[in-house]
Amino acid sequence: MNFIVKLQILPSMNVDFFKNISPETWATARNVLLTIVIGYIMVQLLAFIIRRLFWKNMSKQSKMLMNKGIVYSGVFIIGFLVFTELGIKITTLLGAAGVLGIVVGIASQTSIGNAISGLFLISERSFEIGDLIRVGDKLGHVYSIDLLSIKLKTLDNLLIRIPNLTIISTEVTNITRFPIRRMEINLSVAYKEDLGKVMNILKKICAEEPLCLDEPEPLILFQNFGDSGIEILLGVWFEKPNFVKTKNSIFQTIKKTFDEEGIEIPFPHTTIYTGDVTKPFPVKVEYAGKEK
Amino acid sequence: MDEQTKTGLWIKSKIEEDTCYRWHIGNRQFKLIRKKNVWNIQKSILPETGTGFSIERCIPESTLDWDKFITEKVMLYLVPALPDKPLVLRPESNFQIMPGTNIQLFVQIPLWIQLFAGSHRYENLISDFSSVELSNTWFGEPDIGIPAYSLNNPVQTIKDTEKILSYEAMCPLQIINESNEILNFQRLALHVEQLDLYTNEVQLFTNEVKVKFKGEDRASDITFSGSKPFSNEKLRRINSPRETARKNILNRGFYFIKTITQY
Repeated sequence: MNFIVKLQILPSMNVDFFKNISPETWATARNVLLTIVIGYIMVQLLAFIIRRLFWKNMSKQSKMLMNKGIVYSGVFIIGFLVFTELGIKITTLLGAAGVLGIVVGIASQTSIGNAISGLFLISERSFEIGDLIRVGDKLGHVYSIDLLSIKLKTLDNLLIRIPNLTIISTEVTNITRFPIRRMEINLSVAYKEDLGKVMNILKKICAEEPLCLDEPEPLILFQNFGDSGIEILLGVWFEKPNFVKTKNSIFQTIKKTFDEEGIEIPFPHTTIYTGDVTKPFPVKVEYAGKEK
Repeated sequence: MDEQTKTGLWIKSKIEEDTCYRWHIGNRQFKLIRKKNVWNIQKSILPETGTGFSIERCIPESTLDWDKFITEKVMLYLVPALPDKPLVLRPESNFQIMPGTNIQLFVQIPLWIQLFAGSHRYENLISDFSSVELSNTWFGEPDIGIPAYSLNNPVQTIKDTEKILSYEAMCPLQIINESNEILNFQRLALHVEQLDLYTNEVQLFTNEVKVKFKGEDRASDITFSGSKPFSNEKLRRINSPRETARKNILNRGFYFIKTITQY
């Protein structure tokens, strides 16, 4: 079904809109446009000068805060100038904004909660951009801290958005806050091994591994008499950028040294007895084929 | 090697095309082959630490996995340098320095080697590595401190230059206990990255470091002599500090080990 709409323009209607605009309105429009353009250029220029002067020794977090501070302040000042140019009284506008604020506030409680939580997060400085943090079961580097959420870049390069309200009410672990960390390696040795020898070997491994810090000293702790062997906790300190290198190196060295020294790393196994502790369960191997 | 000048570890040498050179310093070995404008460099760690410093030509081999630097330069400058992080001195014997006492010590510092292409200028630096593998450590508390290398028992009380190995420099260190308490010298951070390096054409020395201990709860005052050490010797400066001295970092010179609950 097709409809044909006929637009009829009556002779009395004036379609030339621009002819009705007074010179004063043109001047106001020009001033508003100039204010926006010059204001934008000034804000960008100010941000550029501050970047050149101060950014060299600033953290990513401080850079982000300063940049947002300049841009938001700039936008506020430009808006104020534009309203003044248009002849709109700010006091009237603020009054209207108060009424509107209540309406918007009721309608967007979650967003406002997130924004306020964001302010708390920034002031608390539990983490900064670039830190590796764990929130619940999510692990990633802080990619950005925004008004409503923080974004994490996971180690497999995915972006996770977590609302600020969630962050403020959840336990957050900052893994890279301090310059050094302790890596905990759980290992076990067979019951037959000489524990003094094992301890000396582990001390030597830590001393000879250049990435493993000499101080704070490595921790060697015999933890448990486990099901299959004696469980040991080895805690080695390292500088945080060297996590992968240190872990790979120390694992390889432990395995190699234990092999060379004949120290058994046990795996879960069960020994079955028939009741007499001196004799194992009898096992007889029979050939299925013809005996030669 | 033609057109070579050599003073101790400091070498200036023209690198011939398609010729393999091998250097052996401490427990490090590096090989260099220049193919037209490509410098191929391979560094390796040797199982044994030698006491000397040797240079020889070697048989050219495949340079597929070597580091490559594109440059038109043909002159190699091999310059000794001080480590890039502070050294934490850990004397094995327990030094107790009585109040009001002034002690002169000499520290043997393992050197780093810097390779420059063309001239001894930082924009021409192509490699910077230690002559012996140094163990990493931490100076201070686990949350506030500085990364450093540890040096076990490197301190002598007499100036015995014969003990200095070819890849070491001697640092004169003066400790003055200005406090009213006994200074138990457990750990001292020596900011070697802020020291100059001098040579008497045979051995290497740094400027003198003076540490004034004012008490365990007060920051120590550490000053570097800006001039040559041993004023009676003819010394020439061959390398400048990696970093300029910063007073706030230097203040924390001594560290007293406390029991840190690790578990």
